[in-house]
Amino acid sequence: MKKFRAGYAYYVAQRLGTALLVLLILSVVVFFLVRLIPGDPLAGYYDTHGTPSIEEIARLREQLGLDKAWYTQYFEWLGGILQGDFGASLTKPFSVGYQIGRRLPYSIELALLATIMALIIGIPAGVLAGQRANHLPDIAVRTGVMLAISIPSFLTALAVVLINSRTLKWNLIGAVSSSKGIVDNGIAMLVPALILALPFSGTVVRYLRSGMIEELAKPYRITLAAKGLSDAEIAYGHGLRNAIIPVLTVISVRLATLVGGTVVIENIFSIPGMGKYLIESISSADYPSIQGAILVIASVYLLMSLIVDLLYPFLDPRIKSGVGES
Amino acid sequence: MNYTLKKPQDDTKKPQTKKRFQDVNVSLIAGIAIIAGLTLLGVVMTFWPLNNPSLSLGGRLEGPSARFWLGTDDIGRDTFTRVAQAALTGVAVSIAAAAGACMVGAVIGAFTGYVSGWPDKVIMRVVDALLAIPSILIVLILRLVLGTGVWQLVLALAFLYSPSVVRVIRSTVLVTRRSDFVALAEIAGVNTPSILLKYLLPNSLPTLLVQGASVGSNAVVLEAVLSYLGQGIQPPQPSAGRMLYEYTKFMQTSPMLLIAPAMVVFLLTVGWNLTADGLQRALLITRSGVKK
Repeated sequence: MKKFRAGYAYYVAQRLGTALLVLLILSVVVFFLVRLIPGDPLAGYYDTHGTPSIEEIARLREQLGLDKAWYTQYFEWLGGILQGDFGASLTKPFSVGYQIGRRLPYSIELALLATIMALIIGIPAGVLAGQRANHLPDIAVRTGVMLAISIPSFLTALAVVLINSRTLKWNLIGAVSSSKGIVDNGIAMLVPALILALPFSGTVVRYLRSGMIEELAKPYRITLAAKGLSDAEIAYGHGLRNAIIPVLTVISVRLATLVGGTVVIENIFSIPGMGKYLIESISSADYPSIQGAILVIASVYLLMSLIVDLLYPFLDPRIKSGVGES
Repeated sequence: MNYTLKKPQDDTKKPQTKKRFQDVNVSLIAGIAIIAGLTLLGVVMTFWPLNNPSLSLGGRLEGPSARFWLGTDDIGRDTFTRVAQAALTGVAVSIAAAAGACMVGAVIGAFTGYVSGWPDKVIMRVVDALLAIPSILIVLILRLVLGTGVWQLVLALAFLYSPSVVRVIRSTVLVTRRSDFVALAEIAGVNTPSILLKYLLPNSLPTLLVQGASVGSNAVVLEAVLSYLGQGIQPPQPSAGRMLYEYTKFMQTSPMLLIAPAMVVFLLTVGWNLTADGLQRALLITRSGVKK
């Protein structure tokens, strides 16, 4: 156990270090690429505030630090972010940090809901398909998986919106708002989250199915059956424990697609989250907002995959011992 | 050789004399037919349009008629012609992006797999980092820097998808470079670029084609998504994604305005996916050495 702790501490440090390094590189890339954009960074400001005089431009440039050297600008920006200050928005009356603070909870809620839904759909379906491999339930599940994976969630979302507008007429678009509580907003996000969850659950099913088939072919199944355990007890109590482990690595890989998907889904369903904020900022050429939004969305993704990576050794005793040894 | 090229169904005991239905590569034929069909439609509608797509020839939001096959949009433009042209844009952008990603990815992948050592380590770290960041973020940053033209879009998509090609090609090259014919070429003093281009890459071609088709399918969707968000193809050039965005407000009255472009994106995705599956089956790569 002591050995594991030391090994795990090393593993955590390694993962944390990698994540921080990627984040630091990303901050440099975002900062400089945004500065490579042709045109005046204040163009977005002129659009909303009218053309100012030359003195006023000089004052604005000084206020935003645009008159300083690029490295000073970068370190001031980075230092500000470390203190939670993302700078002032060029087109909106609130600071970037305030905007992100308001919008980030929606994106996190959407991503978490989608992940939970993907597991709620994916795990039973995967176990069922594995138990009844090549029989009717398996064939049905596999057909569903093929559809879920091959149809992009962008199109599913538009199809749902279109069909809903002519049949059920639920309030789907713009149903999420700051005036509602977290629970009400969660309910309003169920349909968008489900759309994001479908391709995700399809991947879960694929890996779980093959894992279950492998596990249920092992000799311990006969022992358990001889002890009088039911099929469900064998599958969920024993087979799933082993078969779920490869699924975790898939979750970590799928998260990038999921976070990218939230950007699109938020814009389709008009959820005031980070994705919508990013696109709004790009459309209005609002530099500090673009930088902040990209950095925060990437951080959310890195944090989520870091959590999965850190949980991994606890769920797989073999890796747990492996971590201790290395 | 770690590749074994097998004909499909060759483990069955039936004689291979008669061509059975299973032998026909339905996915490949269907996939190519869908893409070719949409391309043909797009070309015909671009050079000999049914109605001029940039003129308001009909009334506002007309239903399908003999003149306007799929009706008209909010300013009386012909939906059918516009959708067909959008399909051609989608095909062209995805083919160009896939070709670009394959060219860059194949060269870098073959180089890094063959040379190995520290250049390999550095390149693969960068590739891993690029693959880890959500693709829409990368492409949005690139769009900001490169600008909003069609060529810039192709360039951004090609850059975005080349890391995945690098990874796949590298893994095949790692296998091929251990072959005797590569060793013989090295002994004969063939220079490195020739070994890469003439000895290693031809052996990676099947993998490259399959990967290219799957890049095409991803590029179609991403192009539509970007155009939907206003960051892809810019008006007045017809684009399925842009149409989906602009016509969302008319979904109650004229759903055809949404169904038609959505079908174009859907068909193109399905077409590319079927092509990828079909190519995989036709070239049947069974990797024994490399674990996928």
